[in-house]
Amino acid sequence: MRKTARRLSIRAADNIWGYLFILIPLIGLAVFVLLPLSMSIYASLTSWPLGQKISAAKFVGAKNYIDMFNAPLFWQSLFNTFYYMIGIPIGLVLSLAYAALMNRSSAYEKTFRVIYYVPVVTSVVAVSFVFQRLFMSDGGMINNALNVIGIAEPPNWLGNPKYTKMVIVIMAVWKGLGSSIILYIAGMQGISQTYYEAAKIDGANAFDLLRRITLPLIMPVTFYLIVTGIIGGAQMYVEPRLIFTNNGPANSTFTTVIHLYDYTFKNSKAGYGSAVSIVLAVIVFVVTAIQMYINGRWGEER
Amino acid sequence: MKAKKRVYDTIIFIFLAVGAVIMLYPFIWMIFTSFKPKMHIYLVGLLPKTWDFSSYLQIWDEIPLVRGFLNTLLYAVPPIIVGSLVSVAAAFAFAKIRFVGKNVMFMVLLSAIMIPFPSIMIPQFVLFSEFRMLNTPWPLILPKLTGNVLMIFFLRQFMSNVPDSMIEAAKIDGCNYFQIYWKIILRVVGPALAAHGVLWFIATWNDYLAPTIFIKNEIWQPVTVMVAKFNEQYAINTHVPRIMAGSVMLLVPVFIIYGVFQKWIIESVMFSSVKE
Repeated sequence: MRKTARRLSIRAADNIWGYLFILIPLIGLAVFVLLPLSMSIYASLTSWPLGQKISAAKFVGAKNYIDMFNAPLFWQSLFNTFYYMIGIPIGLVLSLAYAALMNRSSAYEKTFRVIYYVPVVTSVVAVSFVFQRLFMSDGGMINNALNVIGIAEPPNWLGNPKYTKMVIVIMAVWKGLGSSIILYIAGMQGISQTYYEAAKIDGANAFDLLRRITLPLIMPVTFYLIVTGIIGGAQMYVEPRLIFTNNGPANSTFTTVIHLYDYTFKNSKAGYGSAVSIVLAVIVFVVTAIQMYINGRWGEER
Repeated sequence: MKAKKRVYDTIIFIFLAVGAVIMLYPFIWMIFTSFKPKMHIYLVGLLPKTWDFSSYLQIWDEIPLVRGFLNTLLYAVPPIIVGSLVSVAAAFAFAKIRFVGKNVMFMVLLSAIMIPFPSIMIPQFVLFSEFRMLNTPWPLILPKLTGNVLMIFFLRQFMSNVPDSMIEAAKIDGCNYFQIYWKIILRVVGPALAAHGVLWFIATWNDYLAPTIFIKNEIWQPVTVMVAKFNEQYAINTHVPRIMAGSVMLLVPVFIIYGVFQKWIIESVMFSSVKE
């Protein structure tokens, strides 16, 4: 009897300690995320000039959403944002190939890992200006190189809307490659060698090993990379903002975040901006929810 | 057989080396270009024909770089130290303390990852404006003090490797949870915490969108925003060496920090990645 009482009191104390330790992050979540999010949802239903108090804003129902769905610029921004995501499969294939080549732990391969990770840690602001110069049509390094290999009229990367998006995609792939490589290597090192040995005894060739063992077993990494790629890609802002001016040639480079930023902070239409931001949140939420559903691992003990 | 393996290894090495050149070339080009005189930028050749330091003198002259670096340190160091201590405590609670509603609370906290910053930045702007905090350091400091959800997630995973017996032993010795956290857990997570702290520091250093929204006056701007403004100004008259000098100033500190911590960073990213 006394023993039970003692255990109960310990558990009560544990409750207090547990909540004490997570209290500050919970407050942070409430103040800096949930409160602003609910304000965004409310603001998206109002006509709200940014300078005004949100409580004084006129309630207009779904008007902002209707305006948004009728605005060609919004659809263009969404199209551009999703177009950039073709960088995700390109990055996956490249990083998988490089990870396979680097996953042998000799001295120089460790050096290569460190080198490939350099673009990941560098400032996207600094790098955007460098890429803008590399892709310039007169005197840019890329077109000079294309001239050298015999392409007399290389594309006008920064001026022709047919190519502008490629600049962003190339830069995004280049910048993210190192991170995906490291995650793939980690995934590959978790695979037991016995699988490969058993398969080799059965006469499997290198391609079989890749297709039947490596790819299925690193699926969680691939999945994680796709989802984080989509979440990050949906929020693309800095690269198109700095490499191209305004919305880019023929509106070809601006993204949904640039769209909502400009409407809110330049045109002061914060109600409309909030509606766009909610659509963005819904997209990210749906993608993440699908991941949670398929993976079912976040938060669960394994 | 051995010769064949050597050929194979050489091909792989060449493949990796070409990739490494592509990874590093933009930085090398940036550094050399920043030392060129303006009229030399169309000359062929990577190296400057004459070394010209005027772009650096110009940037030091034109923008308060020291102030910018100090601002960035103010936004990156104290808040991240406090935020890391908070995150370790929360990760410890989620990994080792049994309390009612633990899993629900963890999921609630984790849901923050799903909410993109652009979806909450407008109300954040309004809230900070209400509290007269726009154009002050607070909008870039306060949200970090309450911890970092991704860090909590990764450290919780890391701590599940700490044996329960260690904590039980400390309890028997009369330690309460705070003492365990302070004396044992912080020490155990040390290297992982440092690596994630450094990654958080680098992310803060590179942050651009939040500071442009919350801070319009130059004296509180982080160095990234100052340099971006400088570079955009010279993009108009295509003064390429100055733009590259700006980019170099932004990258040098990151290169140094990465150079010092690279081993930890790579290992920690590998360790805390999705496990299967």
